[in-house]
Amino acid sequence: MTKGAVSRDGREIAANSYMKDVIQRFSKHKLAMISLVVLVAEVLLVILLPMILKLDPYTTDYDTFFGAGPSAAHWLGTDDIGRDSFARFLYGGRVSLQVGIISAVISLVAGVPLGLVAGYYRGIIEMVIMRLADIFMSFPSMVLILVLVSVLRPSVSTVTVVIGILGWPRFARTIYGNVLSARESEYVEAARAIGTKDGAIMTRYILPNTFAPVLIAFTFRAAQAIITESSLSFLGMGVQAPEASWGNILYQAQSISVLATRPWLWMPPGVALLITILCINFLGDGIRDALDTKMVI
Amino acid sequence: MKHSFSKAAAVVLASMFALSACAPPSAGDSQPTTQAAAPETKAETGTSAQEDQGTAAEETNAGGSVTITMAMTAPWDTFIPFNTTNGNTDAVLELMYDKLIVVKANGEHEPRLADEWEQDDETGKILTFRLNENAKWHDGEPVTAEDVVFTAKLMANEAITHPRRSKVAFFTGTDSSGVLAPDEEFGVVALDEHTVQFTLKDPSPISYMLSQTFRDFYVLPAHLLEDIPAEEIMTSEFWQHPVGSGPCIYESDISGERIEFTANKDYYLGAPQFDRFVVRIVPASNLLSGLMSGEIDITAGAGLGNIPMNDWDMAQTQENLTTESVKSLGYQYLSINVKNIPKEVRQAVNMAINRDAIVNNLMRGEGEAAAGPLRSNHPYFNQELLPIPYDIEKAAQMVKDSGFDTSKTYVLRVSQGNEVREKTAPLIQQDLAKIGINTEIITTDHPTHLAECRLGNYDFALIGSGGSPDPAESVVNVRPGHVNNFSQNEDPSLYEKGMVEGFQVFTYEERLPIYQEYQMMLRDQVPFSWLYFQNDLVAYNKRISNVHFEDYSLLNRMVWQWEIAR
Amino acid sequence: MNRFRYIIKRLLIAIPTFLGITVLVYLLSSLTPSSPLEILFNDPMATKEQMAAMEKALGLDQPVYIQYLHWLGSLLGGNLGTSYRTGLPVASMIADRIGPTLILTGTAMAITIIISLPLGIMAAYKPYSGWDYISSGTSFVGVAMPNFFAALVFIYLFNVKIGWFPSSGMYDSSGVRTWGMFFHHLVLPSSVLAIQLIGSLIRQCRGSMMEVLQSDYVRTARAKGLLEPPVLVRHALRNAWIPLVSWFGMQIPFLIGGAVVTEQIFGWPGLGSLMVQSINARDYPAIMGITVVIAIVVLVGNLLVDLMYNLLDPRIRY
Repeated sequence: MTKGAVSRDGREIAANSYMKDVIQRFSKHKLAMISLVVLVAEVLLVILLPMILKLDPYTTDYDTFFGAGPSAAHWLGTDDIGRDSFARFLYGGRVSLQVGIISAVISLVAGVPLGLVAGYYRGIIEMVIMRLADIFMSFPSMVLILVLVSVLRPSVSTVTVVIGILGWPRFARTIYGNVLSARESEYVEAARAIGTKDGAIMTRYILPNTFAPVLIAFTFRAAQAIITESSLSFLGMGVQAPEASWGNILYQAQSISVLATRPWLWMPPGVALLITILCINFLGDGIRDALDTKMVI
Repeated sequence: MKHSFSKAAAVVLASMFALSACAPPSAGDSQPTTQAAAPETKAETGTSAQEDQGTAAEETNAGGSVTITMAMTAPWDTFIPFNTTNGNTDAVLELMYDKLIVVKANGEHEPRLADEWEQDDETGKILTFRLNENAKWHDGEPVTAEDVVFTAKLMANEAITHPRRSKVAFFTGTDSSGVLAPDEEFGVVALDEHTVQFTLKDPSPISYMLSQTFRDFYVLPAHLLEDIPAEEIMTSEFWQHPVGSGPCIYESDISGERIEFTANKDYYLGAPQFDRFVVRIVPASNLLSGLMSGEIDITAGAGLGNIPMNDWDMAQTQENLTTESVKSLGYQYLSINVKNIPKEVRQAVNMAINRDAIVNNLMRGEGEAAAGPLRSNHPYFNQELLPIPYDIEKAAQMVKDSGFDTSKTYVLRVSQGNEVREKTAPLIQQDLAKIGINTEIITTDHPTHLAECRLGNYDFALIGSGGSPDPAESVVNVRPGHVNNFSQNEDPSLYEKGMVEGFQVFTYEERLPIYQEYQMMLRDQVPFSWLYFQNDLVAYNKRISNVHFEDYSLLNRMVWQWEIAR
Repeated sequence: MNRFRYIIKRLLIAIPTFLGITVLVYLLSSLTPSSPLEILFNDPMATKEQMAAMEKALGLDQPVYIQYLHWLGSLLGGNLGTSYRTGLPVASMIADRIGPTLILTGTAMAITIIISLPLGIMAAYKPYSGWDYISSGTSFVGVAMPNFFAALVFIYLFNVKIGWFPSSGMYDSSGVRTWGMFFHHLVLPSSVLAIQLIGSLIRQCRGSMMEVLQSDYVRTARAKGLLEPPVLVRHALRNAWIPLVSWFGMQIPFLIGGAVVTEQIFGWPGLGSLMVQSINARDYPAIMGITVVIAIVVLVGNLLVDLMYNLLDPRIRY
């Protein structure tokens, strides 16, 4: 569980050999390796394929019947207003992945400093921050998100920011727990004794020790964000026309006919969602095993 | 460990025993349930209907009674008739309460609580209704003219704030918002036990009044409500178990999920052929599956319970269902903010929209392109509006010539809730782009949409309207200063033609030329670009017949006339 | 004595948290563009004066903080207010809806516990065996499956194709209402809800059981030659309760108000769908009322969960 500048028992471990250890352990975890490959492939596909094939998810093809099945011109057929489903599927992937990752980053950026500060300084700051975290966590997030999204108009950026902001307590709490134990350790005391500034203690001594749980929390948060975005879009409150996301493509599938007779419309986004989230979860597990932490999140 | 596992199991079992002693959850008033052999047979007939598609799954219980289930996709708000303007609520109200007349889609009016009605010839301000002498309340008391007067007075009572007050603002004795004026005599009086007279402030054709004002004027029982002080009426217990005079008698409800009625076998216009009527709230995606399995018998139609576009093909192949593509009066239009978009550009926009793609491709032909607020089979329709101009090059040229700023990105607003309308937004965006107008689509929920459109915070907005057999229905929306003047129009000429000139005369022949001209003026001024009429896609179990879906958007389902095969 | 003080302390802290939640939600709701008036005045004949009169009657013309204080005042008097949309007391609307929600999520929880505990424990007991793969596999799929997708698939399979279960509502239309029918309608929605819960609980179970099984005292017990089942059951489980209890605590917000999507898809008249309707209608009293109920349930639930920690592990002190 140590990494970075200072290890728990005071020895500075060379970062290199540690990383080698971690990578080696990670590569033993077959599922995680496969997931990593799949995810990277996914990201590359959704970014590159539309450019290579010059796909357009926005333009209606008036020559085909709206809602047509797969054909040479439209590999996954067209949607209800004649747009290329395959293009929308790939672009939708971009949006869904983007929302997932960026909102997890926002949660991290918001939550880590707060948790750090709360755990280190304790007292009133701790109370305020942890109570705030309680408030956010006590509330069914879906409800808060719905209210927020109707305040700000629904769009990709709104959804990203909203999901991101609501995710901070998870990170804050994770860090908080770690910081509490870290700050009692001898080397932190030693550092304080020699007059190291608070800021330096937090960033050089404590923060690096929280790397593992934060990384794991990040992966699970990203997966959760992807699910939340797709649920929101499915309810019609997430990504709006003319943008596509896997969730709002599935919004169309709310009809037995589509389910039964036009699987090319809903299967790709549905399966893609499933695979993406599975892979992120496996990845998280693999990282956790590799970093050898016993943390169960 | 075994110990705590068994502890837990014991707790679970104990609570299950305890629960089984009480009744299953339901809210609101509820009659005690009848048990007997019914539950087991219920389970089979209700759900194994996939094999059963040839024959209708009969909803009968041990007593042999006939139940009809109607499905809507959104719930009702309240049982207080004047405390709502929501169509889902109206669908329920008109089962329990009566209106004076019934408006048909072809513009004709048929009796309901009133047998006969007339307008006086000299002033055009006096409407007299003769009530059906057999009409009775569900508790047996007769319905009299006093009930009508009481209801109107209640709606005009200052102590009650409600959104349907505009109805009574037409009658003398009220101020401009419909509140009773203290020193004037109220314009609704009972001439005798069964005759009511309404005096209007301004002359207006009776057909307009019937189609617009009396369409949803529900009569309440004076003898049950008159002793309650007005301030307490809204919270009275009466509404938990309402008594009306309509074809269905309230039995119970589960908040947000269903209302159950028994048939009023003494209904004065004829006893309904069903014994029980259930209105259920069913998500749109489950409508067809519910119909197929026999869980529901009929969709509510009129936009409150329509088969989704994507399910239409499958619905038509079902052997146990009758499907109809009903030509409704409701239309969708593109409201254009006249303050931001000059007339030539508005005319160009009207010419650039590909209505054919919307109607024939997106809606699979289940609808009609709109040339104006009236459908082509409407008695007042002006044939000169056809063909609807569609010329992209000419439109693009007009935009260019007008000097319109095409470098800006304009706002196209659409609201959620109508799947076809939401899908037209990207299509229209593309149409506008072809003539040089770039837009950004802003989708919001409905209240926000309405608010922003009323304020004029938009350039283009997609809005719908219920339509009417009366040609003046659209005039309020282009009236300067009016709440729903979405296009921010300040030219009073449309209003003057449609509601001043058009209200001076009362016969069809006299009104026809006025409204024909009104339609041409609309085409010229383009505060709105009319898009399409969408057919209501409805389906119902084959054992039901004599249902007139075309009238449903006019808030009458005339359930007592439905014929139900046994 | 300590426990008593702890409870008092927690309750005192809960008050600002509770107020914080109400302020947050009130503020957010008031920021939503447009107001309940737009919905109420769908009538094309409405005039601006009527809307103004309604605004005054509902108190909407006053500044937000005054409206909030009014609301708070009546809340302290035990009154949750009257809904703008229905005109009914908010308390009765919530009372009607809370039962269905609790039964739905409660059943989902019961299904989850029954399925997950055995699977998770066996997986920890015999890691990397067939059991482990089944349970880990189930867990991963459960966590990854967006519940609306699962709902669509379930409806398609079990209602349309096989026709075993109804697709919406709580009862059929015959007027007869029995528990059997109710549970019949409950199966699909609660199973859908359970999927994600199962995924999460199996993982939690497996993880904490494994941790315990690898700890020193368990290994010692095994080394001492004690029979496997008692070892497993007596030492390990008792210590694995705490993470399970805290997992359960984390699900409380979801249980009371989070089944929104499932309720929408299955037409299940619960608190979640009431919240969505109220948000769409800008029905502030209802939004706030539901918020209050949810907040209270969550705060009390968290307190009870924390108390259970103490019951299960006397080493935890306050």
